[in-house]
Amino acid sequence: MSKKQVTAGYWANVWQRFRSRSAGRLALRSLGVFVLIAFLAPFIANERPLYAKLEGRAYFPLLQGLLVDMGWSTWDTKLLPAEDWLDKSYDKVWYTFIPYSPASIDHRNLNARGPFQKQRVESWRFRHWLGTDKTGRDVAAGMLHGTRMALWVGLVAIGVALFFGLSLGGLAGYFGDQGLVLRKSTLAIWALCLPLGLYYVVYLPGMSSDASWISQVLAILAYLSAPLILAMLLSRVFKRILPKSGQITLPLDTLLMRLLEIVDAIPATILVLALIATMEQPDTTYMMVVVGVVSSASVARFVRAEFLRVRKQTYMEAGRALGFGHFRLIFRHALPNAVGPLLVLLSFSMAGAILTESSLSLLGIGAADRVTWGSILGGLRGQHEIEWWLAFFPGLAIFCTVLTFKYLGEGLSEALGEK
Amino acid sequence: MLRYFLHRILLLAPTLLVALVLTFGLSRLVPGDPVEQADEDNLEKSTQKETELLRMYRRKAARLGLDKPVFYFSIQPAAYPDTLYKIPFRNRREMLIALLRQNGNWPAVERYFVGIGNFKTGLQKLPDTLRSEARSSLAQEINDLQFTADFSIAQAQLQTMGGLLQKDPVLQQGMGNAYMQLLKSFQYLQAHPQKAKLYLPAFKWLGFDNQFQDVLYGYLRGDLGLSYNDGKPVNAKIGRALVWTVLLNVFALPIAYFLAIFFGVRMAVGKGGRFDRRMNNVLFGLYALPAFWVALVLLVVFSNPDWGMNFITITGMMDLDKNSSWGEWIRVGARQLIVPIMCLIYPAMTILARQMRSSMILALNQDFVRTARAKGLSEKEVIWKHAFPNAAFPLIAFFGSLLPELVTGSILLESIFNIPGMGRLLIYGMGTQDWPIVFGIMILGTLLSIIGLLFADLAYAWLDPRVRFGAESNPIAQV
Repeated sequence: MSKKQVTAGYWANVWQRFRSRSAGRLALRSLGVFVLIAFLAPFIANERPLYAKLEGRAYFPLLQGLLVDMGWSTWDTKLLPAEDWLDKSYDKVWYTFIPYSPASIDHRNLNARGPFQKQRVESWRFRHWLGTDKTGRDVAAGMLHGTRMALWVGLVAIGVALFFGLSLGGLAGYFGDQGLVLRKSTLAIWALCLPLGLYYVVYLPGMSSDASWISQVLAILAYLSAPLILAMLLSRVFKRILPKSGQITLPLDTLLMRLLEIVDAIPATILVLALIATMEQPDTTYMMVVVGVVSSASVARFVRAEFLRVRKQTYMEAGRALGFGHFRLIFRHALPNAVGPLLVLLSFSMAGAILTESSLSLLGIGAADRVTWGSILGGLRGQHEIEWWLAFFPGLAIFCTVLTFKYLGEGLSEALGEK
Repeated sequence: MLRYFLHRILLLAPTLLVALVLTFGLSRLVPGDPVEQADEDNLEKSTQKETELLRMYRRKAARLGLDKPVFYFSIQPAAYPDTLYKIPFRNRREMLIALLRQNGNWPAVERYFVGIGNFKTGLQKLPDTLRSEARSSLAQEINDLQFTADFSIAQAQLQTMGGLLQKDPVLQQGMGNAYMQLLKSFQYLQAHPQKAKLYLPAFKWLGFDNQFQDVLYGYLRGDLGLSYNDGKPVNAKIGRALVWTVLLNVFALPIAYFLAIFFGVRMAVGKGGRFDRRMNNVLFGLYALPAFWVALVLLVVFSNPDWGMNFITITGMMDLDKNSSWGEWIRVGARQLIVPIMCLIYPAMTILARQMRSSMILALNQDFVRTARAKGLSEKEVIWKHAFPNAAFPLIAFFGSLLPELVTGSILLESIFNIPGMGRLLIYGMGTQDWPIVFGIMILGTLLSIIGLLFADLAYAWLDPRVRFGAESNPIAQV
């Protein structure tokens, strides 16, 4: 064996090809910047000072604020009320780069002051570099924290889309129309237990609405899995009792395609809006779950096609011939070979989800208290005179993020040798 | 061809039906009580008398057909009564369900609920001369109790009520009995929970005379119902809005298609050349440019009188009256619509042009193109007569998917430019909780997207006979 690895792995090759293109490198770098901003936003723009001296005592309100938000600390009575940080008189104070939070209101610069207009501030340190909006909130702070929301929103949406799309599309593509052969008794048991499981998932979680969301999720999983486990056990038992019950082929692929046809028939935008309308007070995360569910149709379609392709490869045949189980074939053989194209799709879906979120909040649908890029733009809706800084900066940020993810997807698909 | 057509219709009909059921289900999940929302008169405000209020609600519900069961059947916990929909007011129904979910004993819950109602009517029936502070605070307490799902809070409220009654002998005389009954029913409710029934699902058949059937028949007749806001037909509202959306698209779509074909074919023919590379970058940039942002920026630039470019307006079309001359209409229309049309054109154009380019490249590499060239046909004939018709399939499929968008309209553009089209109607309906409008548009969009699918399928089959003879290799059904 030679000391140096002669042939690099598949992914190392892809990585090499991806990096050799300037577009891919640029996209990766700008993604890095966005992620960095998302993580550091509270340390760049915050109304709470980094360090403050009040009546001879030193405080670190920013750090303490983070601890308080996590429930590990409480505010000192001296610092109370914990709002109006900018109006307190400190002996000595160090602010972050932008001394405003996205929600903090500057009463002296109400009604949208532009970046180049005269602003009523104490010194250049308190200047609103990108102006303020109608209610006197700093645009720059909103933009920085908006990055956070945008990435979070995209992650939630594609996470949900991936979960549903991968499981539905994967099953349909892997088994096809002929692949899943079941005993009639097993099918009957599953047909009985699955609706039961759904019933408990839809109905029972509402019983304990005051519990924390983690325990609710756990409860949902328990309710969902109990009938499944029951079904598995019952079908084992029945196999013993009725060894000669007839077999039946389940056309999973056709079933999925019919389902997708239904989802496709309803215009996606309206479906998202109607689903959001069923919530009394829609939260941004919930909205993105809805977007994820609706867009999982395209992921499912894609995964199905990818699995249908992979299924016919010789290594799958070899695996089947060696007697590998479905589980091993799916997760060890089919899935890794479908990951590359899937990443491309996810990158594009991320761009789509961020766009959807910003258009929804532009329309004023969703949580009004959260500052996002779209909500800054939304302040301009139906107005006669438009403040250019409120339109330009958030839009530019949306454009850059979307472009980044689209370049990422494009670069990836080229590196994977598609087209 | 006819056989293929019938085959596709048979497959799409169930899809439409399931989509209708889904839409109907969603329309019953949205917040608000349809009986209360319909028409402008607010029941709660028109009268304070409990009995009268209930009578009015029932009459209105019967008029709107909302006193019927929602669907053909219900699957609910066995503890739930099958006539819950007959109880007036959605918030009261939800209250009852909240109580049931904790207790599971419907007769006891019902007795308690009736007890509250009796107490309330009894309190209101007391002579008007008997006006005291205790009476009004008692009325307040019973109103609160009506919407208290928490047993311990309810207990405390009942105790307060008891205290109030004890202090006032006149009230005690009038309401003592009703209070004792209420208290007894509450204690009975607490003492006899039947939680086991909550965990058992029960299937109940509710008959054909239900809300879904009415709605379905309405759709079949082409009737989308009445708007909640003013009680006028949704059809008329949608019709008025549709004119605008279709008008926008009639201008935008052909231009988008023309440009896309022009650029796409030129890029594919000169693949790898300067035009191709530059255009590729431009298209990619346009593709990432959010249309709503472009719209806002254009609005900033072109509507700013300070910069001397106030030639687009976002109000104006609605200001014109019917007597204006045609020239006036066209001039104002152009001023208002040219930028939105541009914003509609370019996203469709970028997608189409990229699609056109890749399918044209594929077509140009086919054998028949080489044959055509070998025959000595001119390059023009090779491209437009041989390669292009084969590369045009994706454009047809795309048109099918654009059809529903013709109806739903561009929500963002219409909101930004204040165009009274379908998109703005939809957002308006969402904002004012005018659900018949929202779901009417949803149904219409669904119907058109199915027609679009059918159209694309048929066009494929028409252009490519292979599809007609082997449904298996239908390129749309496959991808």
